[in-house]
Amino acid sequence: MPSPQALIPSMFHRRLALLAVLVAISTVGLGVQLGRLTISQGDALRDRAESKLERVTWLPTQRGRVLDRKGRVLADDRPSYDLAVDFNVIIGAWAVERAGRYARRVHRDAWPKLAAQQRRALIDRYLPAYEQHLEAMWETLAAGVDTTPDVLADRRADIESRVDRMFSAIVRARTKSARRDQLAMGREITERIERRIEEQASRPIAEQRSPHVIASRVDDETGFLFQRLLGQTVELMPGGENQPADEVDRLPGLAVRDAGDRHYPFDRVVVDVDRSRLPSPVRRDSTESVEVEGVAIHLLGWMRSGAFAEDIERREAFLSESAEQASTSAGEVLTSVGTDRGRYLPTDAVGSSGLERSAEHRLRGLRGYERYRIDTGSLETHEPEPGRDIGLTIDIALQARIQALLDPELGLARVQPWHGEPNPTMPVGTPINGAAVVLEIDTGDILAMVSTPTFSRDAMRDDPASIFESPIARPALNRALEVPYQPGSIVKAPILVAAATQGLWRPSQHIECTGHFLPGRDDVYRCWIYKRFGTTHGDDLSGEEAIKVSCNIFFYELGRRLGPKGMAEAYRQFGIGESFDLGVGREFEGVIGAFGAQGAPGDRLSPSDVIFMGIGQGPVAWTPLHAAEAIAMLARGGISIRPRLVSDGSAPDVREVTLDRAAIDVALEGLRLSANDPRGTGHHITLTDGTRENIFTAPGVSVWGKTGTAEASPLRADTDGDGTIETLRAGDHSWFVVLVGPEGQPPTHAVAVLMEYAGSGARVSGPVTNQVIHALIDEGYLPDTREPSWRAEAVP
Amino acid sequence: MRGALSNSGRRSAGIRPIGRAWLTVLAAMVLSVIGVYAIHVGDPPGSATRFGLSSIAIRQVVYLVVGVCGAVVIAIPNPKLIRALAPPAFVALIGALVFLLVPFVPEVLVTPRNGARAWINLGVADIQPSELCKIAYVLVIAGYLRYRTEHRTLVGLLPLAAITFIPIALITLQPDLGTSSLFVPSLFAMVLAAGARLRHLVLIVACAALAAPAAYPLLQPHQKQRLVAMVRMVQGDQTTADDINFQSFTAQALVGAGGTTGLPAEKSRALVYYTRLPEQHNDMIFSVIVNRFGLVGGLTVLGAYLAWIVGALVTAGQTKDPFLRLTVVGVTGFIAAQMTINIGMNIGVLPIIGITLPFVSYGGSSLLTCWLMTGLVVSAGIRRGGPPHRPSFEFGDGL
Repeated sequence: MPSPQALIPSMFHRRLALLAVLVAISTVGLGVQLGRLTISQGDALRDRAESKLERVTWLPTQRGRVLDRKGRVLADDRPSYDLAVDFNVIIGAWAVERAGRYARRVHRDAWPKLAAQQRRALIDRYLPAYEQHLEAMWETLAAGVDTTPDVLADRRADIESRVDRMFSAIVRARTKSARRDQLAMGREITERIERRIEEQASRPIAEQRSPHVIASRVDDETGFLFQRLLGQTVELMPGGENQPADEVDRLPGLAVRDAGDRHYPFDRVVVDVDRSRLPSPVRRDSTESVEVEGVAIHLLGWMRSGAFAEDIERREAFLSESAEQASTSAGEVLTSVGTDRGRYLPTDAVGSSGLERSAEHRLRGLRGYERYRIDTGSLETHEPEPGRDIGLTIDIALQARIQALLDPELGLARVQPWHGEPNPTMPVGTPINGAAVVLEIDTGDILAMVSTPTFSRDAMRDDPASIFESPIARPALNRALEVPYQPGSIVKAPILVAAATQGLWRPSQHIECTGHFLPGRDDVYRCWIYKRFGTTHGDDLSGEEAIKVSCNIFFYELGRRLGPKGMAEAYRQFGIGESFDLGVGREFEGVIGAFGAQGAPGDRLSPSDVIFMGIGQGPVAWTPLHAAEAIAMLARGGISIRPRLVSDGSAPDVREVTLDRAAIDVALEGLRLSANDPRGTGHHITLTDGTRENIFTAPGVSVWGKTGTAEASPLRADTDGDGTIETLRAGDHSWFVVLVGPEGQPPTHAVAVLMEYAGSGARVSGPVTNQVIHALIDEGYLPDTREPSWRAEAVP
Repeated sequence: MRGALSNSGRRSAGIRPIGRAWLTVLAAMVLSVIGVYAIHVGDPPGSATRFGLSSIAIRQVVYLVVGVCGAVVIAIPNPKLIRALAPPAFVALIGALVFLLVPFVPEVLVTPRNGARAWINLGVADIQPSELCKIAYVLVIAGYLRYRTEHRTLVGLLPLAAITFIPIALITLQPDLGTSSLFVPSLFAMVLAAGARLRHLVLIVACAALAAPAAYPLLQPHQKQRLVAMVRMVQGDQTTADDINFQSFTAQALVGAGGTTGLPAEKSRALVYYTRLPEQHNDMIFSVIVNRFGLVGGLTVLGAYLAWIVGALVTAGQTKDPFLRLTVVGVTGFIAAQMTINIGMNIGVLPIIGITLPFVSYGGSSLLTCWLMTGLVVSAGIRRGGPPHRPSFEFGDGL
């Protein structure tokens, strides 16, 4: 190849050629990118550009309903309206503006020549009429929303001062940032620039030009009434010879806005409780109406306005998931230009907890939309698609009844003298927090799941601190599902079955109650009867008897035999360590071994741990729902059905656990005796005067049951912030689990009741459990052979 | 021998045919006409029209006539006269640039546009001294370099850098980074053509590239934002499409929407209007052209620039007058750099800076300057210089 010098002898020409080559290279580069945009990305870019030719108007949709097992509506969207008024009407500036405009019209010819003072005088002449018109408007509004003009005046003053505060804050921020920008550009802040900055900064803020809500959540009827009044005008200044008329809106600056509201019809319910069936100290020969609020609030959850970043992330995850599953449904979720029809707009209501949160994307509907092509004028309408309804397995009437039973007003959930030894952290009269779960044995359906205390949705809105910051009541917790509790003696029947299944105990085998488990020491591993009365349960205890009298020594022995691996296996078989995925929020899945311990459950346990775990103490914790499901498994002969709260039509999740059938029979007999034999721990309570009362009072039903009085770790917290941790609650948790069914038939329902730090299982939880059985009868789940007395309806 | 004699003898002194400069003139006219039409398309749908053109397009036609007249006026006189007038004109324009920066000048005289103090109101029309300064600058540098050899040393390049620094600094302070960024490529083209050593130029470019990051903190906030925006766009970050990268993304969408052959006029107008493309008559006019005429239209524009540049470079090669040679190379540097940067930012490969598309964008000063440059090329085309006393810029060695 010849050298450039030979090819082009002149250096100048060579340099020109070099320049031409440089230009050619950059031109080719530009050409390539141009081709890339127009050819390979052309279609996508054209879509993007054309989307700007469209105006899309969203049409609101409706959130799906939540129904209970009988089809009653627990949550739905109610149409409601906000009445909003322009800011300048709220502060009265409207009257001055309109009077000024009118004065200018009337004195059109003279106006330019008038001095400011003369103009002011003319305006003042007409001002009263406009001011009176505003007064009349406030009166109309007040009457329409059932309040007084004074209340509206207060609201107006609030809005005005809030906007004023906002305005001065924004002006300050604007001034600061404008100064900073000037300095960043290297300009000096002269007087002139300062003036301009001030002028710029004090321009009106959006809140001063927009309507503000003066009455929120008014019903349909009021909304429509004001919507009709919107178009009307009145002649404020009657026209005369040399005076023009002035027509003004009847309700100036009013806007009626759709504020579709989530409504929970059963949130507040009055339940009639027949007090004649309560234990004698709290018995009355009357029916008491108990008003309960926040019914099933832990399950349904609540909504909030405005999506957080995590909500938007969840929505995106849901979209990509549904896009993977079925392209057809994803195609409907998106508009034709790929916008999510269910995406969050700034003031959208978002499920914040419970079912409202976990089923957000099923409940949340898809907006409709209208696509208007600006250039062609064509209009295309897509109807909104309401969200899907969700059915719960809950019976809301049963739920409300049980919540009423746990209302301290009734006396069962309040410390009573006959509850047993005094608890220094809970003197007589202290309300007891607790939980109750009712399971349908055949299906695993949860008929009721109550946790107390509950809270009202008003409190949620007005005073959230009372819900989230109260150290003892902790109303936001669902105690049936998310709080760990030691099981105590209610696990004795499952432990018996597990020991037999692992070949460590024969159903015919008898064990001696020695009072204390270690022959040489009578201060540890004691039987409760030895601790209290210094006696034993005798030397010849069968499995049935051991459950009936809740002998500790018998189950310490089974615990010893099971050993760490066997014990871990036993608890796992009865459901600890698996969350139920009910879809109503956080769940505690149960723990075997100390919290946070590493390794397989069996490896975390010591030989002394497992002896305690034989009676449900030591390093093991579960929830009332675990307890109900464990006892229901016995009733099913060893079949586990995953409890469920949302009924989506799918078959129950059934799993067979191989358990010793003969041992199950022994265990059920033990449970029957415990509740029905006069020596059973779950048979009666002893009142302060020594009289005994049977725990279970409903005729026509069979009850199998087991008490539990579980030593619990104290509840400690630093409530006053002084750095010292106080013990707020100490003592034993009170448990009762029962199986119940029509007399002479196998059990149909499992019930678990827990009363926090309340002491004796029989004395505190027993009467509650009995009332739950009555509630099941009242709601028709068990045959009613009681004396006819009352049959109250749940009244919304 | 006789042919050679007649060749140089007959044409040595007087006016000659235009030579290859006809290509440059034709290209300039094609680009100007496309510009007038694109300005018309860039107007909102339903704008009032006269003679089938929107009013702003008609104004551009007037500017075009002024520009062509300017080209004729600058092409006719003897280059010696122009060379003699260039330094005082340059000083006067520098004075005007200083005047623009003087505080407290009433806004009647100097009205900031887009935050830049670049225009002086002369009553009948606004003029933009920075545009005319480009021409004066080229003439001054060409006059300075025509018989020198110092620029073949690194130290000898310093006076050139000093002269160049003055307009760049003044224009940057307006602030008009777009215009000021064009001076260096023009100077680069002139010293390259004038025979500077390649290794010096490579060294300077390398140093500048290495030093560029150090200049980042000196940039103004909005300029930093543009750079950040560019980086995020190259990374494929679509979330900036509605804020800091709005202009670039919109321009690219319009370019892509044009496809191969473009869209009908009404559709194109609607798209330009409703996508709210900023500066649709000025800096972003290239995307309007591609939107209307597609890839074909875009390549036509690129081809026209290539024709202008090739015509100019060939003309420079044909003339023997060293002043005209460098003048043509200098204006070519301006046109090529301006066209590359403007189209680059329209198609998303360069950050957005305020810079017009030569011949095409709306604006009197800009169009006049481009046509004056064309006139200078014509001036070189019709004069090939007298018999050379000695060949200029021939240093033998190197590329």
